Amino acid sequence: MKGTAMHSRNTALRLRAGAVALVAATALALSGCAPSGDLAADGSNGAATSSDTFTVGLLTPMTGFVAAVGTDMQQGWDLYWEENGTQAGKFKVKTVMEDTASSADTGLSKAQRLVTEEHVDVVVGPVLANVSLAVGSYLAKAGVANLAQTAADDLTQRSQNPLVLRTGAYAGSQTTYPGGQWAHDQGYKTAATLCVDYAFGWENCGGFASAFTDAGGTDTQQYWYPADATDMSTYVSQLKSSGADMAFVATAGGPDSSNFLRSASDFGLLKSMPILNNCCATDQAILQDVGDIAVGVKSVHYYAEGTDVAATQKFVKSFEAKYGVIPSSYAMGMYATADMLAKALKDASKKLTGTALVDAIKALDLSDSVYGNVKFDEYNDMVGPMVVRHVEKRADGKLWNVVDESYDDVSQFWSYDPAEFLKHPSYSQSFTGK
Amino acid sequence: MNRATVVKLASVSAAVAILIALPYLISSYYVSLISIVFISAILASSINMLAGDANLVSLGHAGIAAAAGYGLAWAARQGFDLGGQLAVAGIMTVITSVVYGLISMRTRGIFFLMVTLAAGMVCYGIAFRWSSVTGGDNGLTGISRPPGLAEYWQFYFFVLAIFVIVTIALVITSRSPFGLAMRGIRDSETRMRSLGYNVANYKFVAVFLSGVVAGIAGVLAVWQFEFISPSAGGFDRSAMVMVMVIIGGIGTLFGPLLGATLVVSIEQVLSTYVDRWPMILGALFIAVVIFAPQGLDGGIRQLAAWFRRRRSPKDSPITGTSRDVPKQSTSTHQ
Repeated sequence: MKGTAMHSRNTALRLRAGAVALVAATALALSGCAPSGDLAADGSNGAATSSDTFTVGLLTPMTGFVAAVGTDMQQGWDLYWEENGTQAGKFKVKTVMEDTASSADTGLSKAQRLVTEEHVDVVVGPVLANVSLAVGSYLAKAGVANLAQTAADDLTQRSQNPLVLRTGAYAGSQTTYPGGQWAHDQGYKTAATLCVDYAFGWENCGGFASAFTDAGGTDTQQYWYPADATDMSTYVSQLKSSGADMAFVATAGGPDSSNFLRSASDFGLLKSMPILNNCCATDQAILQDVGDIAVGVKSVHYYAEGTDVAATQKFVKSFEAKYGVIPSSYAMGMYATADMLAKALKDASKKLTGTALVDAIKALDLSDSVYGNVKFDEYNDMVGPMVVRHVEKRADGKLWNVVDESYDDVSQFWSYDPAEFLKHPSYSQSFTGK
Repeated sequence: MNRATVVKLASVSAAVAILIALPYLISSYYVSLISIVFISAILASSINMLAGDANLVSLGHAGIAAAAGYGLAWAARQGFDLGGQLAVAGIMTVITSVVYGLISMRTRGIFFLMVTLAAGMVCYGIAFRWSSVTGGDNGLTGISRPPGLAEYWQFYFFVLAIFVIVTIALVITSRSPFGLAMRGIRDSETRMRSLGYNVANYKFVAVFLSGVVAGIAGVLAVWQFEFISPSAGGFDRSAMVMVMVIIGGIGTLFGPLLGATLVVSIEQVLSTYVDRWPMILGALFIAVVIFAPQGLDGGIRQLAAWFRRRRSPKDSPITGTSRDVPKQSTSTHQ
């Protein structure tokens, strides 16, 4: 009984204290007494601490469902600075790493930490589309440049902003337009498409379908599968019975890619139907997983480990020598980004931040980058070579992709007028081109 | 006033003073983190209310928060004014809360958990697939806080105030006849039914009320991040909030806040220094479940009571013999 009486009295007290807090808080907020100037200013601009240190904030997923990609990115970044030293012109490049945990919310507050606590001069990453779109829009507000590593179309299209430069990847649909052209040039009249059912798959499918249809082909069937599908055999048999001349398949690079290749091999689809994949089915991680069944599988991408482009060859060789594995496109994206950053800083007389940094990188001569001959368009996306490639077994037994055909100067707008193109909605399962 | 009351009053005032002084003492990043803690704590409170008073464990409340958030974000991008945005968010909250309530009002225990889990997955699925409205996996960007809350410290005070209001409202609800009836249903549903209570209706109202609180958290989260994506309504989020509630202490007043503080610190601060932070969070979770089933809030209370007994055995209600008495009986007297 005593306990209950005490309890209600405490509650009353607690309530009263809460009310006091509330009134005080409201009063403070209303009276508009901002925290002292120093702190407020500290938060709103990311001015760097020392004039000859250039601080890079690295946002990669070191935990969560794409943690493996984070490790690749890290290795690509480290390799560049180990090879070339961290002195770029007048500046000492210092890297601060943060983990996005593969989540947009965490990525956002980590970006905030990099800007307000570490005072970074540029943020490199993140790789996941939604994290990148969120971080990009925050950094634009904070006035900090972002060298993006993600494929989301809209990052350099409908959500484009002058502080975000896509240096570590191409737009999702951009990489697959040449695939549509290639399929038509091979003489295929009809195609069935199978794509993963979220933004990345929509973009990949949209690119292929648009270019294939423009060239005169017909996209007869479009199949979509959920990103977490584990059994791909139903989709494989649908493709098999589709009656189309060829199939275009866009997987996400996770277990779905391995499962697709295994099912397609088991059901004889790989032999009975010409298939063109997007980037991810023959990515190094997948090749190491599925092994020899992947030999001969064709795909379209901006990167082929077994290319004869000298700069790419050199990168692949030194990466393999250091880490013992053939690098993925994520590692290459980071390596290329580091290269661009170092070159821009080398010629700079004063520290480059914000749009000045973006402009300096856009003005670089990138004719012999690890991507091949690339330049930036006015929407901050690269225009460069895409390749149709197939998997080959090297003498040492490792699998890699070699080039069949190369398409130079591919733009994110393919053959379309940018202004016209941007009037269309983003690619989705209900819109894959006119 | 006796000593315990003075101590309690003093500590509450001290806490309030510290919270109000914080933006003047620490940098903007940490102030924002504390805003995140309060927002998570509000969402955790909505689950805590159901779990504590009604023993209804929800694994889908992030879905309601996300529905509110998407309502706000969508309206903001359509160019609605602040009132319009809040109205859309409110309508979304009411619709989802009513749906949650209707489908779960006749369930309990594991069935309630499964039904809310499924409802949460549906919310996630809609956000993920309905790309023309929700932006699909890419989410919605470019949302700004209303003018008076634009600065990080203004928003912090706003979130603090909302947290206090929500906490008081939840305490009042819990102490009301309605709360008493909920606890009755928790302890014996059949007895309450035979006493003439319409159990399903009570559950519906409880789920609805907690849904409204979750909706508030959803709106605040969109303002905090100025962004929303399907993961805001996903299972991971719901589960993480449940972890906060369990670590903090199910059914305790400060449990959600303690749990949110710990989880957010590990997620955001510790992860800067330790790559394997999910392991630490997991270990902490297991430790709490084993050693402090009442969570941190309950654990701290027990510890405080134990110290008090050790320091002044004369004040103890069972003078002198306290150490010989079995643990069970001492704790009932506290």
